[in-house]
Amino acid sequence: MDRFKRTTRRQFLTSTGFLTAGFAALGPQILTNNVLGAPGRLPPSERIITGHIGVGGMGTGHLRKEAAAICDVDENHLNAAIQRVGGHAQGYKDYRKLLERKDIDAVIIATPDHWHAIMAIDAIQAGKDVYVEKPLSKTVHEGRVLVEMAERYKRVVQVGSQGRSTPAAHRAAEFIRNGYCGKVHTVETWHTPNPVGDWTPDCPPPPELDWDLWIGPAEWVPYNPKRCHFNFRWFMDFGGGNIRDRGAHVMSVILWAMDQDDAGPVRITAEGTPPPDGMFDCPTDMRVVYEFKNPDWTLVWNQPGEPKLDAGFGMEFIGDKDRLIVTGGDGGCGTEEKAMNAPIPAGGVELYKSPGHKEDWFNCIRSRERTIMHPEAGQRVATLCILGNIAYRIGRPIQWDAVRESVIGDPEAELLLNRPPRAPWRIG
Amino acid sequence: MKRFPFPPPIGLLLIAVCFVMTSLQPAHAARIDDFLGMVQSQDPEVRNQARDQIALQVGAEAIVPLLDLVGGDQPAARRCADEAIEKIVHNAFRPGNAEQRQTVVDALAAYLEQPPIRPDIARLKALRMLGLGGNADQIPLLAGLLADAEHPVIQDAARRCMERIGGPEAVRAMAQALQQLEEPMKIGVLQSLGSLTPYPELGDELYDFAMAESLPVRIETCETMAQWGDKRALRLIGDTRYRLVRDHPEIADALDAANLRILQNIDDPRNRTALVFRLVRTPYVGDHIRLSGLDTLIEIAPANFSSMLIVLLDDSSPVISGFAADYLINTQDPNLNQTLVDLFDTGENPRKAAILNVLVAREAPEFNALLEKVVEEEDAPLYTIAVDLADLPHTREALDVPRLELAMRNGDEQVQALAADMLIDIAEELATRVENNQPVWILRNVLRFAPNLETRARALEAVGTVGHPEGIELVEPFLSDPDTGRQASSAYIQLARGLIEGDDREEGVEMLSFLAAGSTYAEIVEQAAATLQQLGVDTSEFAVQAGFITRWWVLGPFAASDTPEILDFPEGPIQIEELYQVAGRPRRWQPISSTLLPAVFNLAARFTPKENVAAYAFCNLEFAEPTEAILKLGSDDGVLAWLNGTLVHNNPASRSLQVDQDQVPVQFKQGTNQLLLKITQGGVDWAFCARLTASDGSPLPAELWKVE
Repeated sequence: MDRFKRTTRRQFLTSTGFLTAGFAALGPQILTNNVLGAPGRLPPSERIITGHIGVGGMGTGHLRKEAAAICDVDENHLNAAIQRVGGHAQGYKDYRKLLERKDIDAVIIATPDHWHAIMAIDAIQAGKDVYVEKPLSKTVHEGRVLVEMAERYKRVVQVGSQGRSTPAAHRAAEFIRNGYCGKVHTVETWHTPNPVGDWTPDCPPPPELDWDLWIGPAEWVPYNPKRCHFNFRWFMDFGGGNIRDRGAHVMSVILWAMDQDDAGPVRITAEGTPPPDGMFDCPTDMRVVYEFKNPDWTLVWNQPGEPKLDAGFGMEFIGDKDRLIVTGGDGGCGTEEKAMNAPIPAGGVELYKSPGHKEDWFNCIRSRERTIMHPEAGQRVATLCILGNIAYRIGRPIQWDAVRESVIGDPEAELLLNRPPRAPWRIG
Repeated sequence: MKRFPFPPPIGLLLIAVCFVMTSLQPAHAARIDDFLGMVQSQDPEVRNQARDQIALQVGAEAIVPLLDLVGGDQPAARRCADEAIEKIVHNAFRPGNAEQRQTVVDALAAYLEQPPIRPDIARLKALRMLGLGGNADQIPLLAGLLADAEHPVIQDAARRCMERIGGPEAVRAMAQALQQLEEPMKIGVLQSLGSLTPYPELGDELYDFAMAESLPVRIETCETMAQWGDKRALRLIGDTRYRLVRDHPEIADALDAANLRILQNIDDPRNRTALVFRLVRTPYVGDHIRLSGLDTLIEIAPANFSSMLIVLLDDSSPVISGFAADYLINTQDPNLNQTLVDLFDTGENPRKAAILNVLVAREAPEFNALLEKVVEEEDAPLYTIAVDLADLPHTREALDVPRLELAMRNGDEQVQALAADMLIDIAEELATRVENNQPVWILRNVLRFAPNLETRARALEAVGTVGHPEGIELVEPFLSDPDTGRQASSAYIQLARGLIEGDDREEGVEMLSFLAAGSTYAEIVEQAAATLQQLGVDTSEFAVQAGFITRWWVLGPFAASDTPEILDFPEGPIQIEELYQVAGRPRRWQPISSTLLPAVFNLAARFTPKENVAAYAFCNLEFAEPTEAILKLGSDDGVLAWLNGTLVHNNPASRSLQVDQDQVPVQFKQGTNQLLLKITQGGVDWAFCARLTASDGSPLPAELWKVE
């Protein structure tokens, strides 16, 4: 039913003889201008046709009936997803083939983390708007390239830290920004530890899985079922543990509330406990201290830290007048009643209220405005997560230049901000 | 007499220290063996102690034997050795530690110099570490590995190691290796070269190399030369495009992108502007590349940029014309309006119409002069647009709606669907600009004559988007409709929110309560309940009304491989008082309950340990008569269900919880029914919920059943 989805009102009236021949002679160009108010933009009412890359755990939840194409390197995931949207979507194993489709307006990327940025950059260069799951990138370098590409190609990118689209995070951010806690000097987080794995032996990949394509740009390793679906997040090379997985939610809310979406810390100190046994390599416990300047405040990632309000993870803003607890930080974000009920003071800060994370993205695709979790914010959040892990790995503090996104005085740490991808994959 | 440099006691002490250190040499070697033994221990605590101490007590000397263990077949020793190497390397590569750095680099190089019979995984580790601290001295060694086609994984790792080390030696070595490599590796090397500091002397060599190569390699060479800003790439690209794009259209984007990169690096600004604009105007070049070209022009900011954009207003690509219009609308150029008027007559109608659009968007008084001109010339199409833009009474919507309604009622099936769809568009657009009930009236007719279910569903959604209170009566008849009830309910929630945010909170709460208690759609129940909870309305009764089982007995956590047979194969009634052995300790069933909607039970908050375990949930359900129902389950991760001792559901999923994820038709008998769930858990979150509905999804009557 391409015609149903693609015909504009004017084209339709023209083709069915409802308009005068003289009007039709103008062609669709000016009509598009007319309908849109600004030429060349997707009509507000036009349906957005999506392609879906990665349809395992998170990707399944993103599926929508307008999906025209679905990609996954695991045939079982792929076939299940195609059935789920009604069987009409075309399936692909290689996402580059999906990106060649001209009828697809936007793509949703929900692959393992090590693919996020490279796929998003390729999609942007192919002219697609992008919803990319958090964290934005595996390295600081590829994240910055993504931000620049989104700007250069004028693409609408939403990063999947959906906490910002929840009412609780919105009210909490307004509460902090309007000074109800006074000057916030510390934000303490808490999160359950990373799990300890077992010793599952390496083995040949199952026939439905293209393991080489699953690894893609990352360092080659033999297949292991405990390294693949879901569990990839407990390996430094593919996920990076809870500080990247959930940290990308928690820190997104924190940077928003602290109005630091384009800033970064000056010093990062990390310590952690490697898993006592098993094949996972992310530290079970972890404490990372991020020191910010101008304004001066400190963000502390505590794993496990001290749980509050019976929540598995969350954050507490500590100011010189009051404190505020925000639980979760993802789609299940919550906060205290005092923040939910606090009025906006006269002349105070009233933040944009997202109608829902994907809805915000779709709205922005139509309006070409900036998303609630735009790529620059995604980059700053991912950078915090990445720097925490680097400081832990090298075992020494990092002095950070947030403007140049560069490590000061430590060439080895600087090299870890980038990762040359395996051939033939490229960053941009 | 020569003076002794230190006072006697200190001198003696130094001698003693030297003696001790000398005498320790053999013991030191033994110490390495001790550590290596510890790394291979079966006891994780011993391994971890070795990992933490070996960097401090042994250092670089342990690297080669540790790499041997990384390539070994003991998984635990492999990981321990891997982490120990990381600690040694990161400690040695810290700033201001040149001596240790060199020792470690030498050790890594020594390992890699050994014959390539060693496992790939260990050599990969060595290359990865070397890339973080190596120098030009290792380039010959790495070039040798890059040439070793029998080990492609190592070849590529050596290439990336050289890329990290960088410098002219690495660039030269990679360029020299190009000819001998297989095609995939050639592409990888060219990518590495492109990311390194330009090396202009190699331009000729690369050009000649590319001309003799396959298409993909030639494109990659273009990219590399473009990244180096080498103008010879222009010729290479032009030549390749001319000869090959017709048969290989898929290469066009890569060539054009490389082309633009070269143009962006041209020194002379006038030359650069002219060439970039030529590329931007080239219709067969991809939109995203043309947009990049426009960004380049913005950076250059040529004096005639506005004129360039006016030319692009009627570009065949809406993306390019849209960019041009956006820029013109927003630019502060005080002379732009007059420039637009001056250029009005130079184009055809599409450009004229676009100029009218831009002038209106800029709120330019010059628009009126053009409007008069268009009216005088009696150019009907342009006249219509101009009047439309001037916001005169006969707006576009007013013109279109009657015709579209006619088409929706009288056309063939496809025409009806298209017309209805466009009417919905109009209603939604109109609602953003007017506050009257006109959009609702358009949607009322669409719903009345909707030619198919898809159109009706979209129209219902639009009623919610439009948000006018008159939409409530349009939506209500469809709330229980099996085909479009979901969309109707969703719109109903939006309308209720609108009432609450307005001045009719009572009506809005009533509408949400209706959905929370009675909707057949789980997500609707959740959304309505969440909104009510935000408003501070008690939802506990709704959980029961929505069919959630709000009281359970739970038992666990059992290790996944250690669950009691009596529960997995329940032959007789389960006894609540019975004692079970859980991790060697006696445990009983514990009661839990919830007043939340949905009634989700968080097992992770209740049980420890919470990885690779399982727990059971049990309840007695009392039914007044035999009843067919749907058992709707949500779980994180997997779930099994037994009803009266029979396994009725088994989903060994690894997933996050959503309400009603699994739907199981079940038959309850009159009297007491035993429902047993087993919720399995891999890691992180762990939860479940369950509710019962009639077979058609509606709530079961309250008098029919209860939790005992």
